[in-house]
Amino acid sequence: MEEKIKEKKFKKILIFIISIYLIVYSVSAEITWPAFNVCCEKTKNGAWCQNTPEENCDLSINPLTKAPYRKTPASCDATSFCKMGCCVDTSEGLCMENTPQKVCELYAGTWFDDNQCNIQQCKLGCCILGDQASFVTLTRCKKLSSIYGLETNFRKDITSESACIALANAQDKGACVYELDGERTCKFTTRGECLNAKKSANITKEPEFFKDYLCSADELGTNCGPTTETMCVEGKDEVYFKDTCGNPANIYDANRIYSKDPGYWKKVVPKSQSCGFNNKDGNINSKNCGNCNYLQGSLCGKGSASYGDNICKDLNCYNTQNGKNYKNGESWCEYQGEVGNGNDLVGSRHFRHICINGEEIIEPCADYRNEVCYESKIAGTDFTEAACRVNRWKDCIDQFNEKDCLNSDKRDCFWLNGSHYDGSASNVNKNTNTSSNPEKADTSQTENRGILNGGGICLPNYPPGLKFWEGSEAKAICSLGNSRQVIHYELNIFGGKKCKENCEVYSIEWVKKLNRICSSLGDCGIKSNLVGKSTDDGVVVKVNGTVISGIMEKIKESSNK
Amino acid sequence: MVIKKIRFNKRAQLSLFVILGILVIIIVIIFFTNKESLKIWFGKESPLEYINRCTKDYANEGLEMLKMQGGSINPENYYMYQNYKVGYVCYTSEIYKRCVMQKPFLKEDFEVELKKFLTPRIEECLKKSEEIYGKKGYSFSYKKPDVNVSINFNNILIKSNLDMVIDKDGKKENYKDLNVNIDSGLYELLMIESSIANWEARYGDSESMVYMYYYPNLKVEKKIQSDGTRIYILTNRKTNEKLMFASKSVVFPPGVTGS
Repeated sequence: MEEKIKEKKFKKILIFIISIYLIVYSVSAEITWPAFNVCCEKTKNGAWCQNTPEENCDLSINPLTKAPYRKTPASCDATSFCKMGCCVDTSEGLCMENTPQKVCELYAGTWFDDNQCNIQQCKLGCCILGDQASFVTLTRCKKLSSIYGLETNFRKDITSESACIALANAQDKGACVYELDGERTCKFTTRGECLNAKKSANITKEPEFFKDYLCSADELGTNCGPTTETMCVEGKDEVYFKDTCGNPANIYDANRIYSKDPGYWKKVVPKSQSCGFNNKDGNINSKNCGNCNYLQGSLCGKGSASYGDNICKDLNCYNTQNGKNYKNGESWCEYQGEVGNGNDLVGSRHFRHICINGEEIIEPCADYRNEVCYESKIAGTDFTEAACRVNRWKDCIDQFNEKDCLNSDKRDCFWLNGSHYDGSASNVNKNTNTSSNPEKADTSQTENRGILNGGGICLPNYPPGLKFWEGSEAKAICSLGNSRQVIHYELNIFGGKKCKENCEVYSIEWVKKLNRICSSLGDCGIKSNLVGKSTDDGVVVKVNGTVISGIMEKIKESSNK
Repeated sequence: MVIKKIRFNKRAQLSLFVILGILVIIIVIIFFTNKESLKIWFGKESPLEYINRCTKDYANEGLEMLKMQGGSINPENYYMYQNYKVGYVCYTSEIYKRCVMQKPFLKEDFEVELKKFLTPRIEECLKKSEEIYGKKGYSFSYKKPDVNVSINFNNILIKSNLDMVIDKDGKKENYKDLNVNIDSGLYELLMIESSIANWEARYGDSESMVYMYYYPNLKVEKKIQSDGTRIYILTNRKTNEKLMFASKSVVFPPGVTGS
């Protein structure tokens, strides 16, 4: 019995404990961000009312007050001079949000203590401007009406923009017949504008309004007659026939010129009963039909038609950067390489492309992959919409089960099987982390730290870009991928050693697996950048404190594949 | 007889070359001479027309700068973009915070800045006209111009009150104001700029598609820079008039792990 105990002790003594450390920027650093502890009335770079470190404050003399610009050791919102509010421009009728009192007063504006402008002066309503409408404040409505020479017609009971547009479209329109210097003439307009015409022009007889009539109607007996000319009308999609007085008539239809169809020049024909209404291409480039549709990618513009010089211009985009065709208003995502599952390249960012008015506009999403581009098709259609939105990668590493990890309502992460994170470098409750790898929740975890073998790990789907060339933030994030592994060996009596425990971590596959985790955490590990280059200093493998060389080339080869 | 003919031909040739030479010299002189002086000496440009043209040229120069620099001739708080100091209309130096409105009165800002830019230059125009037209027998009297700029719906009106009297050979012409009118759709672009600034202040970003849908003649480009600054370029597709400004709101710094 005693001999057996001695033998066990002997074996234990003979066990070499070889520690392997896989260290990826192993310096764990405290993240520091400058303390925005002072409210400066003006900063040295000329910005007004900023919470910033004290040294950024401009303390020179304010030429208006003859006193130095102020600073207070408090948030700007708590000061009297930099309190955020609503600045009202009473001449233009504009309400500017989140404006400091000081800045507003500098421009002689009227300041209100409500930074989102929920005040009576900024209440929006429907401003009717002829057959158009604008959802603005009362003062703005007055300004716009004066610009267009119209009477102010403000409807404060209309509380939404869509209702306002609908109201404008629902207005009675027709021929406004009047005598100007003794001649009977006509203007195609709204009832309201017609009845107010007397006040604004040299009109010798009270104007008469004929709802739904065109000025070219013979029975009205005006000096306006039909032509074969066409015109585009502000705020309308379609090409319209033009009468001799310059008024728009019905939608251009080459088969309904006056000589072919005099009835077409009498009353307003609705869009739905005009030519080519059911054409899904919006009558693009049609020489004979001017029933354009902006939502289908066409709009009135210059071009060669059977009559007149306007056609439904094509607003769609062809042969875009990715070689595909897109409709007007569509947007889509473009990437600079592989994306998702932690594969985004170092230095890459996402882009949103927009097709508008026949032009492809490129909008970059925020750099360092702080924003990612998402696209989807509108249900039941082939219409693509894309948007740049915040990359929610920050709490991925702290998710210890697959369901939480893949909850796309909360975060943008992916789940990788084969290894897990012990939470040692996070602020989360470390007791919860064993759920990702219950079978490994044993005593070995006390000697092994960081990324451990087995289970699963939650990682950013789109690894954040890091300023790894400066500061300590990159090191702090990359160090989450550190792994300290202890391998137990047994020595036999001839001095030979045999791996007994945790042997699998002493392999190139394990290092590759760790590199995959590192490169998914951010711009860490050995990973190719945008131009296909990678560096050697992203991964350090140490055995008993000694750096192992040669392993890097193999990882680089696999990361470049 | 034959010899005489040859001599005559030689003389004719020589004359032709002399005439051609003189013509070449005249063309070269015209080419290298200041076009402005030529207009004045050979054209029918009156002193008033000259002052108007001079003012308009400076106004266009100032406007171009203002349009590309967010409404300031010398912006203090700006982002350097394509060699332009693009002024911030809404700005925050903090992370994750909405921007603070820096220029709530964009139209007024433009007007004030253009006035500041033009006042000394209009004086320069007046001095130049005195120099040039003085030689042609004109005499001028005027007070220091009081410049007023107003940006309207379809134009920009520059009104200089200077009580000017132009006298030539005892014939006097009085001009109380000097009005220069520049066709421009800047007003509408400024209103859209105000609206985008409000979006930035309220939501930390804006949706460029909304504006382009509502205004088919408008192009809105949004270029996000590495520090989170957004450069907006508004273009009127019909006139190609551009307006550029910067905004910095709800900035996400790279790699900050803390929440």
